[in-house]
Amino acid sequence: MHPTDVDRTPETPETPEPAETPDARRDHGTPGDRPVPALRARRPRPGLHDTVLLAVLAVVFGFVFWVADQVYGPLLLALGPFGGFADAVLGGAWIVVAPLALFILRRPGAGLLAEVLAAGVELVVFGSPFGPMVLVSGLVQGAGAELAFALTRYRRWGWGTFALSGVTAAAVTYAYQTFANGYLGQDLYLLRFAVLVVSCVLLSGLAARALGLALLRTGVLDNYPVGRAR
Amino acid sequence: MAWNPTVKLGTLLVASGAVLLVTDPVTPVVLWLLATGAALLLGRVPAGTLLRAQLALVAFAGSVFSSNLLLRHDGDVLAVVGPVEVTSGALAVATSFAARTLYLGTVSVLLVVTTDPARLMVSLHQHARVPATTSYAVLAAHRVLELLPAEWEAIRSAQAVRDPRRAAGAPLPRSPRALGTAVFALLVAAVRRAERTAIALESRGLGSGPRTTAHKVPLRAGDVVAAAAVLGVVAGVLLAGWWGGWLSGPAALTA
Amino acid sequence: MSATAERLTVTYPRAGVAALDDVTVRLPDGDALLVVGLSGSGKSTLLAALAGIVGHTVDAEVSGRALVGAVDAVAGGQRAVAAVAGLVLQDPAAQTCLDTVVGEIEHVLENRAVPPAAMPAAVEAALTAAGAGDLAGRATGELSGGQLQRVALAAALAGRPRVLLLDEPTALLDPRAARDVGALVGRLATQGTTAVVVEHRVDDLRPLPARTLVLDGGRIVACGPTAEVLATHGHRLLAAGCWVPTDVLLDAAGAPGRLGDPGTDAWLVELTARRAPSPPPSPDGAALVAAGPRGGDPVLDARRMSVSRTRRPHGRWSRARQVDVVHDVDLRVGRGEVVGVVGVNGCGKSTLLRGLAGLDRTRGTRRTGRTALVVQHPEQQLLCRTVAAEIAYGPRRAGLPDDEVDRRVTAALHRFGLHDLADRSPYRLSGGQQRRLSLACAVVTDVDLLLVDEPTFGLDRAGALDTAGVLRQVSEDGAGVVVVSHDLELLARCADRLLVLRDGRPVAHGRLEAVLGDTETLDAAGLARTDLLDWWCGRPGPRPPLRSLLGALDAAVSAR
Repeated sequence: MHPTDVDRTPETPETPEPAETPDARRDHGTPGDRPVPALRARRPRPGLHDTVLLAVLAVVFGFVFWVADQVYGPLLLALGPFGGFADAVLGGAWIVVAPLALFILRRPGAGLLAEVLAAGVELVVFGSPFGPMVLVSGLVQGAGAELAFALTRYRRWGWGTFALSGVTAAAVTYAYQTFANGYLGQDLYLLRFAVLVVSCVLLSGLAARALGLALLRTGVLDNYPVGRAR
Repeated sequence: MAWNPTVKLGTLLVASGAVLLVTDPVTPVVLWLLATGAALLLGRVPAGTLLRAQLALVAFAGSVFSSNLLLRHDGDVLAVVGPVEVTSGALAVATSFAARTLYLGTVSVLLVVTTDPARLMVSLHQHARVPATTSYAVLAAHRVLELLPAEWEAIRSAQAVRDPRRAAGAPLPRSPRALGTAVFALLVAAVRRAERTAIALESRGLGSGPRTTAHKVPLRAGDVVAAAAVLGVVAGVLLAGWWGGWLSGPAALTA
Repeated sequence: MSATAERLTVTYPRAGVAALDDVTVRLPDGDALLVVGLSGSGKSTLLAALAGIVGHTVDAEVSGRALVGAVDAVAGGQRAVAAVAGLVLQDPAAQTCLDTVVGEIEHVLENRAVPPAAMPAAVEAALTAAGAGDLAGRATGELSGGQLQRVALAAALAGRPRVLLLDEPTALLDPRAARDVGALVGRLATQGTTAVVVEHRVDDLRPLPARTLVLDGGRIVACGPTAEVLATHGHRLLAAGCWVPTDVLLDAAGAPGRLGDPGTDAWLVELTARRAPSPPPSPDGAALVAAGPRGGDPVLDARRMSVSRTRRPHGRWSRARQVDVVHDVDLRVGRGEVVGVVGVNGCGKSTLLRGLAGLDRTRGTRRTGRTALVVQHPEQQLLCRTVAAEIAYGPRRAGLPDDEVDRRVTAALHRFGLHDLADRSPYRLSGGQQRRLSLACAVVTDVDLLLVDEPTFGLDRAGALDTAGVLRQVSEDGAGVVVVSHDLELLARCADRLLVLRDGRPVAHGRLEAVLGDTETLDAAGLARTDLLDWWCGRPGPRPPLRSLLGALDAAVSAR
């Protein structure tokens, strides 16, 4: 049936996978922020192993996002006219997967990709009140969360960086929402931003690191970059 | 709908993005009505499903409406509710954003009901140059997702019975701690499974060279024509608003 | 040579000793090799090294060579090996990656760039070779573990591998499915497929591969023709906790011949009479559970009890509906009694336990004392950061004073062999250790009724015997035990009565020996006896008491 197939020698996997490189480039977009050679040299080719983990994290958090969407409705009604604030209060929970993916994989682009995949799962599998634009939100949120790590050149993984990641995520996300959700020109514009920053620092940045450390303790991350780095 | 899923996703993404900067009430309402019609007639979305989805969206839209109505001050005062003045400008923007929510949500329902995730991933690999490793990683993760609700339920009850003070038949605990431990156990199980799945996928030769596709998702001229038609209609609605003078952009927000 | 390990040494990070220490094995084309050893012997590591997993996907320091065909797995990793080898792992659910059975096989063919026109025939051939021809057209989500394992085998075969690598393919299957898959693997391995099979349930592989390699502590103990190796090292494997074929077990116990020989029959009867059974003494003489005195009211009294579960008939998020899964069960369990519940997958065994534990809705009468439930997958019950905290959780929630909690935790840690692991994360324990932890957590609080779901799933023989001993002791200490299991020999070692379920209804309920002897009922319920139980049931005249027989055999094995 396919006589030649069995003995085919596989391509030597020297070229980095195209999936990861564009995202990585995007994150190094800030002037003076070149890719980190040390990191590249240690991990020559991001493997299927990492990609599957990203996808599974995306799916689990897609599920968690969907549950959050279910919480969202009642909370909106409870808050009445200030329902928009629910956006800000829960805002961080939507972004937790990006810093968590970065914590585990320590690789440029991991956060962005995880967040976009999670948004994609939310859209295609569960449906989202934000429509296909949830993909753009995912991209923006992932980029925002990843910005802090790009600024520290993917070299610092302490609490500070993760807190900063919450701040950058909030800033970038809010800039996008100002137009996409039409917050521009509303009363309480800055207060809403402040709430979002707090939410992102707590529910995204710090929560991701705490969750990552707890996972690390269980041993399931031993064969991922964070486990190797110990 | 046999519309190529990649083209469909791209088209609907652009069609959704088109309203991002629109702040007048008419344009999103027209688009919402068009999207609903398309979902019913072209997407063959069952009317009941669509109705239920719209009802869920109405709650969401209602909140968007009320918050914008009360947090904006622009134009004539139409009414005074307690300490809050309702203005004409706020009413217009609030209506616009509420309608936008309904429009985007309807597009989302259309997408969920008419898209087979497996076909979408194959098509994204074929037509959007998503690498095979990524698309099969996502498909494998999708299988994990199928098992998540059962796993979640199993973990929740297995943890609940550890409590010696639990009464028989009591509902599962809903405290943040209980939910947190359950989420954590779910996450550990998922990460473990991810590693085994990666090993299985790799042992089957994924990513090791040239590959074929058993069931290609076709990309025909008709797909592109349909995309052009949809985008043409959206552009038409926007242009009509521009010529008619009712279209407005983000400038209206700070006026 | 189609599979070769040359001076192969593997050391995992942060491990003091090598998991595989200077191992050299050569397997010629067309031969099959069985690799056995206790967990931790390095048998899975050997397979993982040949598959190119260790040193690549899984971190480890690897030296030496592992050749599969012409591919060096140590240098090339999994991707290189995938071109020449097929791999089947333990976990059936984690290795089926796509939504449909056909898609699963097609995926392998796609990755090897097989032209689409050739695929339908290739898919059919692979499924047929794996005995899964009837599964084409099914969705993977609806298959049982045994069926999924066949699909995984078909996927491995679809790539037309030169070598088949199998890592405990039957470990997570119920005995019937394990025997079926084991027979399939045995057939493949003896019909010219080059295969390396790692197994701890050697008794399920029929026929056995021609050659056997025994590993212990990462080193080779023996390697040669299977019959020879099992004859010389059978007792050692048993002592290490491996499952072995019945004849090897008998031989190791000192039987004069094979099962069914008149001499062996007489020897077994005599052995049972000679070794009067004694309950396993607890090491410090302390009771395992603090239950009430024997006699008195039953700890479980269920009459015409039905259990319903929530089902969502139209997809994942549709409206929930209550559906009866278990019907009309009458079950009374007194203190000191162990009742086994058996039946095929999906017969409602686990739901019955959930109903008894007060998790699922029940109708009819259901009265129980203080109840603890041990579920099938220990990780689902974990709540705490450390093993010690995990055991302390129950007593603490029950409001016991601190010193009493500490006393109980220390005692439980010792009784279940977990004292060295007290500060470990419970997720870091091995499968067997996690099982012991879950039993420890269940009995450390005061319970009258212990419900246990498949307690020996995936355990080696030593672990299974230990579990049977614990369940027996819990009942001796005055609690009632209901244990769901596929493992009839486990139940024969610890249960007094058996309840047989079929399609959610009780079809037989009575003394264990009577129910086990009822071939018709067992057949109808889809259960099969092991060789030893078959022999016992088929014996004319007075039979030796079953539990004494098995206990005497186990004692004879460990005495030698």
